[in-house]
Amino acid sequence: MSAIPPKEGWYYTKIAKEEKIWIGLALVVCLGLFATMILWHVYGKQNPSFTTYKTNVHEFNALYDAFVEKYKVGEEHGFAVVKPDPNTDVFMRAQIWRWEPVLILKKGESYRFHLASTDFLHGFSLQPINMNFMVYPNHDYVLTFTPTEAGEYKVICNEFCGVGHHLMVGKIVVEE
Amino acid sequence: MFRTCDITGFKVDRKVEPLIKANAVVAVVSLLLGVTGALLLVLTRWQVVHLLLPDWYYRMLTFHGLNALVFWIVFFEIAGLYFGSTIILNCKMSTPGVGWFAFILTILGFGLVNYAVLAGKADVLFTSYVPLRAEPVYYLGIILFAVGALIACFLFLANLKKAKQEKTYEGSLPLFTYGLLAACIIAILTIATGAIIYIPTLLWSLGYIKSLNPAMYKLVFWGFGHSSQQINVTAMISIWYLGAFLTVGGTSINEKVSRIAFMLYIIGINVASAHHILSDPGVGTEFKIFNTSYIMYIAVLASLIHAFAVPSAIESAQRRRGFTKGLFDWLINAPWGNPAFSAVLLGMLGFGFIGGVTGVINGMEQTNTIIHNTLSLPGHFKGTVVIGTTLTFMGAAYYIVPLVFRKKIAFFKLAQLQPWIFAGGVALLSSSMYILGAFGIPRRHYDITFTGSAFTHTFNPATDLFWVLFAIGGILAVTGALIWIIIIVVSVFFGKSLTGPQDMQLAVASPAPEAKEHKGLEAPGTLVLSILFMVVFLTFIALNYGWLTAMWEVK
Amino acid sequence: MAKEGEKTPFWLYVIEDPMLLLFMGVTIYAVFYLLWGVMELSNLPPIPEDLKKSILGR
Ligand code: HEM
Ligand SMILES: [Cu+2]
Repeated sequence: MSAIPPKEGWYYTKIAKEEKIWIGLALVVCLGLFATMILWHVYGKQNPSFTTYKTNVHEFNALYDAFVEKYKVGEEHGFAVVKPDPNTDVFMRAQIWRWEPVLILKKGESYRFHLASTDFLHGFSLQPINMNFMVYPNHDYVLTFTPTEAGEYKVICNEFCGVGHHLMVGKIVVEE
Repeated sequence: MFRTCDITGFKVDRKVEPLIKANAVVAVVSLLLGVTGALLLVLTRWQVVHLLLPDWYYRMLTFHGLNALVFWIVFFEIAGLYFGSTIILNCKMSTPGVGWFAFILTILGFGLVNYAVLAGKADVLFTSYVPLRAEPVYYLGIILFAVGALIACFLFLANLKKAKQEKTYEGSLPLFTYGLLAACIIAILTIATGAIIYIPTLLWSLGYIKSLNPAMYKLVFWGFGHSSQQINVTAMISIWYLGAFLTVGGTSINEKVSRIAFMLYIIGINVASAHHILSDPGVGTEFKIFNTSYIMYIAVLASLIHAFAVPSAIESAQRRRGFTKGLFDWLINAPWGNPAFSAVLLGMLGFGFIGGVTGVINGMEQTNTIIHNTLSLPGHFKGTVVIGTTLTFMGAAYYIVPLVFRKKIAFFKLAQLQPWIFAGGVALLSSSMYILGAFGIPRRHYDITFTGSAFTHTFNPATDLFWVLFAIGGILAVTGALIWIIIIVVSVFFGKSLTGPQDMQLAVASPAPEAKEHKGLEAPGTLVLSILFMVVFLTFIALNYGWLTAMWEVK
Repeated sequence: MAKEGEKTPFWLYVIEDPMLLLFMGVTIYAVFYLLWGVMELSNLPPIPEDLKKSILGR
């Protein structure tokens, strides 16, 4: 005999009433959570669903440079300041240890962000509203953002990318 | 070569005892290393002290993650697997020699990894996302360790087979061992995934492979990294069932349900790894929703079933012992003086209310963007793997010391307090971390004032308060862990030997008497507690979705 | 396992066979997580040409 034998005939025991209630409730909640995620895609406005394109450092840098040249309006601390037209494609590059360029956007307009890294993984963490996405090398992560409030936002890196990781801060200004 | 335990009546194979002891001792050493790292991390992240320099902060983070999450837990689990497949089944270890071989491999791995990390050859954190590159010795260490652990899993299966052939037990496996079987199966597929990812990475580090795809790496890594957390959960729940039995003589009110829940784990829990890539480019929405919900909720359902089954086992046993007044008389009159009991109970509460509630938020596609890589994330798993798994294992050790090491528990009064100190500390630590993360504070970050950066960001000043709570919680948790380590080390190496049942400080409860007459519900108190839990859970989810609506729109 | 003479419910065979459990666990995970994930990652489209043209002006 084992040291702690199961009750004899355990596989015939009827499930107690309260356990049945609980399992039923738990099942309903689980299905509810499943439905929530899907319904949020239909009715919600914040979904990290997206397109990912395959790219490479060379190609992404070329696109980035062309984008910056087209919309550049100035410089700040050695970062290009760029003011793209609404409803256009916006390229943001992550590289140790910078987020480039500084962007000026308009409230209520949509922008198709293309996020990619040219070296390691980085974390795109938009503050202070606290939205967080991952950025990979060789993958162009396309997210369409619509800023809902004017103000100054920062992009901090929240995936470890080397010893200067904590210096990696970018800036996005949203105008009325 | 058996001795018969004069306390439990278990038959104990003398060959397996030293194996269990060796693994348990290394587990404690790993925890000590992990906790030392934790103290340094707390004192660095709390920027009033800001103790370490950046390179050592990241090095310590790597060190802490590996020693606490990997070595402490896995060595302890190996000891548990041997215990559950031999002593519990009245059976001898099938091949103790191979057990020692596995032990040597794991020790080698443990040594190499810690050497690599401390020598600065592996500043990649325990996730080592490519293209961050560690030196080959690091990956080699991990691989050796994993092979050793895999062998231990196969030994467990071999022991089960031997016990069955020799008919050392009749009928079904005990529920505890059945749970360990589930953990072992998950471990086998986890370690197989580890091989798929670490072998190419080793070759890449050696220069034989030119480049690795970072998205593939992260996908497969979490197939390994998250599944290994499921091993911990499964082993922990098995110990909960064992704990309910040892401390109050409670058995699951319906073993069928408990066993099916373990089976659901095996089927459903591994795809949950997908919640690590919810905010990532690469895989599509269907992949994300299917894997984190459709299948994973099989696992969530199983967890909810266990969350009911264990306390109801305790409640039902207590009621049959005569604590029938009101809803919670059974709980108030539970054996709180038994540190193993309080450890298991506090572990359960913490795991459910902190780890479980936050975990489902993290695992839902949209709300994941709120917590992804913020301090909320380690906040969540402090609630699962520290207050849940670690505290449960600590509780189990209070039985292992007298029953396997045959020593009295030193400083018994302190031992009775220890679970409370540790649970209180971790609960404070993890909830502060969760809240700090909600303010946007990143995890794995040396300096949230961004000194020296071109742009800086100032977090909400309310965070200052939560940093203080974070520090207090962290220091309390470290204290609780150190107390436990001291108690265990002193008992095992310098303690009084146990001469017989009269020296046993913890009860080994006899099974609770049969119910006389079935009237009404068997465990009404548990039902009320569970429903309370559900309300907290749903409120929290609703809050998070409400919060989402205040953000930028994104699609 | 049921005692002799009793009828063993079918599901008992399913949940008590370690190899069957291992098989179910591995298959579901390998197909839905690993295989599906690797397929998606290896079939990502390149950046569309007209998008590139509109940015690069060529
Ligand atoms: C005993 C008290 C403990 C304290 C005070 C503590 C504290 C911390 C702190 C401050 C961090 C760093 C968060 C960051 O800067 O990103 C951390 C990370 C972590 N802790 Fe603990 N910890 C403790 C125990 C444990 C235990 C027992 C485990 C595992 C079983 C564990 C697993 C981890 C892991 C996996 C990380 C993440 C490392 C990474 O981001 O790479 N901790 N802990
Ligand atoms: Cu970065």
